[in-house]
Amino acid sequence: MKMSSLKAIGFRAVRSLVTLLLCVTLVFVILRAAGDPSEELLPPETPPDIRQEYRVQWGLDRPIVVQYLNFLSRVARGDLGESFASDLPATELVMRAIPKTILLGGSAFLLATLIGMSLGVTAALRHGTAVDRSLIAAAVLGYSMPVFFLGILLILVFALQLRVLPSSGSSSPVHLILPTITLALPLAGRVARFARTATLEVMGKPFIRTARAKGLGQLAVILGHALPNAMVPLLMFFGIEIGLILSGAVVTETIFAWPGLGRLLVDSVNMRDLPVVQAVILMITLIIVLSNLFVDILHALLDPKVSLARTLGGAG
Amino acid sequence: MYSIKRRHFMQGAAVTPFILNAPFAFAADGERPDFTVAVAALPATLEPARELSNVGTRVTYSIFDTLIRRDFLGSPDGGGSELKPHLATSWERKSPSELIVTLRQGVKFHNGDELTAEDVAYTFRDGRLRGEKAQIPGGKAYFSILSDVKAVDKYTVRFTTRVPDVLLEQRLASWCAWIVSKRAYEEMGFEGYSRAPVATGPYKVVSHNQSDATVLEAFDDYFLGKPTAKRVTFRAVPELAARVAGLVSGEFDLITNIPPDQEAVVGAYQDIDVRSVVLANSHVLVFDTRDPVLADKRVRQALASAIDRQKLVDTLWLGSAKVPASHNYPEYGQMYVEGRKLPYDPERSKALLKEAGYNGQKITYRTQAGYYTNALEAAQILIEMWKAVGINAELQVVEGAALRGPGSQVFNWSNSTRLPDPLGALWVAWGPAGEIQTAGIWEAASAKAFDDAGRALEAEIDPAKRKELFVKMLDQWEEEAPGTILYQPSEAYAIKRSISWRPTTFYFMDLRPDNLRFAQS
Repeated sequence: MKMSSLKAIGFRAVRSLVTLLLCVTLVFVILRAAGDPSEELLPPETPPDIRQEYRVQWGLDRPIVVQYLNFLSRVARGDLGESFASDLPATELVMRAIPKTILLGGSAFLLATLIGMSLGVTAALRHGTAVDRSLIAAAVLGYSMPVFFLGILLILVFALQLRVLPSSGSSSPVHLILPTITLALPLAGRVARFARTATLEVMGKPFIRTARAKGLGQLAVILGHALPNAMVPLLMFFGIEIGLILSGAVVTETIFAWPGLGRLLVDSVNMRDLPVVQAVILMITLIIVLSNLFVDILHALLDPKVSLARTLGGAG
Repeated sequence: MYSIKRRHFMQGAAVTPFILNAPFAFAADGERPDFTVAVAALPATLEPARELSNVGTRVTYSIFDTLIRRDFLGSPDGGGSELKPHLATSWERKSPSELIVTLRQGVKFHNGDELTAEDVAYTFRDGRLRGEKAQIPGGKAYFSILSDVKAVDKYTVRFTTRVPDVLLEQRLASWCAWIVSKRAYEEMGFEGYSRAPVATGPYKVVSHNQSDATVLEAFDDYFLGKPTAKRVTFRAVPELAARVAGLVSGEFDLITNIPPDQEAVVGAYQDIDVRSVVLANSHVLVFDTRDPVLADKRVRQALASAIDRQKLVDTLWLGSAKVPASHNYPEYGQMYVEGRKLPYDPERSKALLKEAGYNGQKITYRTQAGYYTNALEAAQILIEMWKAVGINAELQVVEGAALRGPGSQVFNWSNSTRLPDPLGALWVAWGPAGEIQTAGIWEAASAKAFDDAGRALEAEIDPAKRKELFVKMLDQWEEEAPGTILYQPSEAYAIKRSISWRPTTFYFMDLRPDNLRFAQS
């Protein structure tokens, strides 16, 4: 690897750290401005002196600046604090939830890619026809459908009316089906539109004409020449989508009682369990920052026209 | 594309019945079914004194027992307050501040140990629920009154209170009084025990994950007999539609938190029954006596008597909630004052306002949007009721802390009847140690007569005199009007019709063999 590339990666790492710090600080300030956690964590008739005792125990009686500095120094040592509600380390709670979110997000990602890519490429190849128009209409419908609406619709049809699929929990692979579809359909719609545009652009390029001219069949042209070239912009698109999948998971996991990161976030925000909220946000930010970094590096590796230094920024 | 999706579903359809039915399959010995409850949320831990919220007690009530059992179900409304032997077979007052409790012999903990007086003394020891450095500060609200708990012999315990306490037996049958295993607690430590407690209840802990499920298993050596379900699973399902769908599809046997406007929808399914109960709790309004406009008690009285409470119950709760007879509830038994009523008299309100010289100053009512069921709807109606008697009322929807922040005049709150006595409800909420008086919202001068009567009640043990003092407190509370009651809300559960189970007026879910029965198949 070239020196400029290493420098670029270093620059990006620093920038990522700053992003993390900003994110965490923002969350810290907003959560504390949003009210006293003891109001939510303790029963409403808790006597004031007992309430105060808990506040001292949780360190909420100290000035916010002191709380913030304490928090930062602990984070630097890898200690995200303990949940107010359960006293379990926040890291442990996050680590317990992550595999579930990865499973759900991963399968939704695969399903969405499968559906979206085939729809998008088919639409591009039938450009301007009724097939193209109806596929794109379907894609628009897919990505403009709110996740909570789609999720409840699926529950009504498959759990309540047909009674063929379970509506909540994560105890078996069958439980994965409805949340995966819910999370995947809007994404599939976006992938389809993007894949269509990317394919259309590539199909007009001279090298496709050359490939056709040398007698390759339609399938070979698409698989061998069009798709690999269309992949580059798609890759960038997927990098951004990871963040959207995570935000979709917040709603999907709540609807389907899927015990992942999104549920943990919603629950801990509701309870004002600040250490857990901070740990989840930190983790989500980390996932997004790292996946973007990964996509950028991959981009440079895949596309010879792009230098790593230029993608990552910071090159002189 | 369509065919792929369809195939996907068809495969799911083929497999699902097997998986879905697995939880209901009868055990190999051909007797007890599993029981799955979908709840809106689960507690963080299972240490019963740490988890005093509705979501906590709902689960821990099946793992733990108290010395004395409050017989909720002895009353048709699920709010009975008679006391019955449980882990204790008898109890005797030695003096107004001393109680001797005799334990049942042969009661087993989930780990096989026998329950002894040592476990009881450990449960109530200084440093857990009481004392300067209590592990669980929340326990102090119930047991800081204890000065000593001693094991006299293997099956006898002596409880001593700082001052005479008529409520001690009720305390031992209620909040925070769940008996823990001394050996398990010491071996596992506070945190370990909180996650997988060992107790004497009908079900023992298999696993607990707050965001997923709490799984319990029948404890066959339970002293009240073999539990009727083989396994009880409390599953966290925050979304109402998913809870209902799971109940209809057979995934769940019972679901909690059905809002009033959904009761009819859910109850329309043939094999599902909605069972609702009026809670031992009242939604109340607080009037800030420090406010210049509300400083005149006639204005506060006018606010209270302008409210048509029955109309709120009939429209918002479809009749399932209840207007109580003031801060005075039937579960008080002898202390219940018959024939009291909350005022509803718009004409009197108008007269009071005129007398007080009220001339249209703004009165703002603050509420949170989603904290109490129907709070926002009730608020909108209240504003109109107040306007109808000439009050210039305005609604403000705020977040938690702002409710009582600067400029607050009227806001909503709730009072639970934790113990079936005025000292366990009215006095806790509105007395000098409660948050309204400590925050100065009800000013000392206005509260004085009420406080005097309450303090006398604390020290009194003669039933007739106690009742007299309670009437005095009620009169003062209504006269000074630092607030008023709206109604007692209801809570609804939906359950498979074939299962026999009754709810209580607390969120405690009683799954003991005498309250949970399955139809023979």
